Amino acid sequence: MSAWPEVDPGAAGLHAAWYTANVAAHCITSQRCECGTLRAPARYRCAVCGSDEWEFVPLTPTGVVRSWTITRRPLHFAFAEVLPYALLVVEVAEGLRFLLHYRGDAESVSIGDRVTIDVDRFGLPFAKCAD
Amino acid sequence: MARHGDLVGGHPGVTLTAIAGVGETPFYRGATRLPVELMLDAALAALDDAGLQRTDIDGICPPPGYTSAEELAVNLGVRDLAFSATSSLGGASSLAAIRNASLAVAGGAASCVLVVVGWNGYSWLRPREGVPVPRHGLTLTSAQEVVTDVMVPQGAIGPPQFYAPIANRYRHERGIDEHDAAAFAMAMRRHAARNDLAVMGDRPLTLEEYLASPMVSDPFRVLDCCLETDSAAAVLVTSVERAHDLRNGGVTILGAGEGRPDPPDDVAGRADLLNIGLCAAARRAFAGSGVGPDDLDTVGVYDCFTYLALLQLEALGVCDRGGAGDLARSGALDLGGSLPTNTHGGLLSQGHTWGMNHVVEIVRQLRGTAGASQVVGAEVGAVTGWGDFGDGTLLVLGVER
Ligand SMILES: [Zn+2]
Repeated sequence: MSAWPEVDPGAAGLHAAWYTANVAAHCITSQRCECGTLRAPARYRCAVCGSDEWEFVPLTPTGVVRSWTITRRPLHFAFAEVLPYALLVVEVAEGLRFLLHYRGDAESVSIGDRVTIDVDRFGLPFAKCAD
Repeated sequence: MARHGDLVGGHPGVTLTAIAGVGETPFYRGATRLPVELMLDAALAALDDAGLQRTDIDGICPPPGYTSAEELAVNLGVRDLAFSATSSLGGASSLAAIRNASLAVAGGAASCVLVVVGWNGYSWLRPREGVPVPRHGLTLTSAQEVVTDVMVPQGAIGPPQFYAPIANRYRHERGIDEHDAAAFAMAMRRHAARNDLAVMGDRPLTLEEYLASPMVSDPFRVLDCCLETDSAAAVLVTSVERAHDLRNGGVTILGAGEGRPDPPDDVAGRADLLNIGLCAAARRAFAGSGVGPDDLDTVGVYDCFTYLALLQLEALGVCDRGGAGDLARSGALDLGGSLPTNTHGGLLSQGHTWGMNHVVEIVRQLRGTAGASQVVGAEVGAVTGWGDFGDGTLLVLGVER
């Protein structure tokens, strides 16, 4: 397996702003509503209070694996070089859950494991072996 | 046991509706005509089945893509269309559309609604000479924003990857394993062997063959994934009263419901990965239908992936949580079992028409015209739908003998 293809995610709107915030914070972030509710993926308004006042805040850069898959067949040429790769559902301490690719031995991860979350130079978050 | 509830879709006191005609095309792998042309074939077959004229149609529910109510209307000679609606729940759209049609007829907005789906499921990723490409593909929904901007950059490109975390959580929480999935896949092949249209009709499946099938995205092997076909299917929805006088009578729509996981557009973000849309859809569809899961004589389950078909059987309520594997292994899903399921072979072994092929099969079962696949005495059936990121639909059908 070669290195993950680091490219600009090419996102738009709020999602692009999220990647930019991750770069600026050097870690995974989420929106925090003025009422204190955290949310991800990015939304225009808070599902709890309805407000559109929010800011991006850093999250705890570790989490626990709730589920996973290992992709072994090329579903897209852009990721053909990195097969097999693991995709993890990771829950951070704040309670938010993210789908993250794993940079490391895909076969080594299972449900309940703790992983570290990092971001690349484009702000794309990923999981790696816990420090 | 109550056979005909006096409610439809949870709305009391309205006209009972029925499916009066069904039609479908063969399952092509490289169709030489466009999806809209296949849909017109299916529509005409459904009209013929019902003994209705093209001009009897006054409502059309097209799928979210490939065509429009207007394009279908002008090609069918429908000059005064009174109703149209499209729901975007991916593969669950077929049953949502039947529910829309039922509500329209019950509410008086239309008297005879064509519900049709069709696509180039095989050919859109396998272009070749002589296979035309539709100008408009699947309509992208708002759920696509999170896919494009958040999931694809992670390397999550397609349905096997979107759904695999649900399946692995299902294995983890409820003890389902590959032998359970294999049992479901093999049951579909046994059903397909009796179905003339089935793509896998002459391809029996052994456990050894299943276990040797390459992994696509754990826990999904190639043989856990449904077929892809170019095909179309249609049904006609009208009132029970009108259907009664038609060529094949009517199969009554006892209940219909739709539901979505929370949030619908982000699988990873869910508090409970197993709380799929069908859980809410089933509650809504059974409420007031006069029947429950124990009354079902046969079921069509949206078997896009083996594990998800098993999970849907649990959400439908025909077995306990974690019990779907035993159900499949016991032979209950086979002809002669306690709950013959996908007697046409399903998406896994017959073909893939967004589950409308399941509706066609259940209607034939309840009419008693399912031929070699007939479930003796079938009077009540249900069809599940699955789409997008776990949206669910349920249609409950019945006949009086
Ligand atoms: Zn708020």
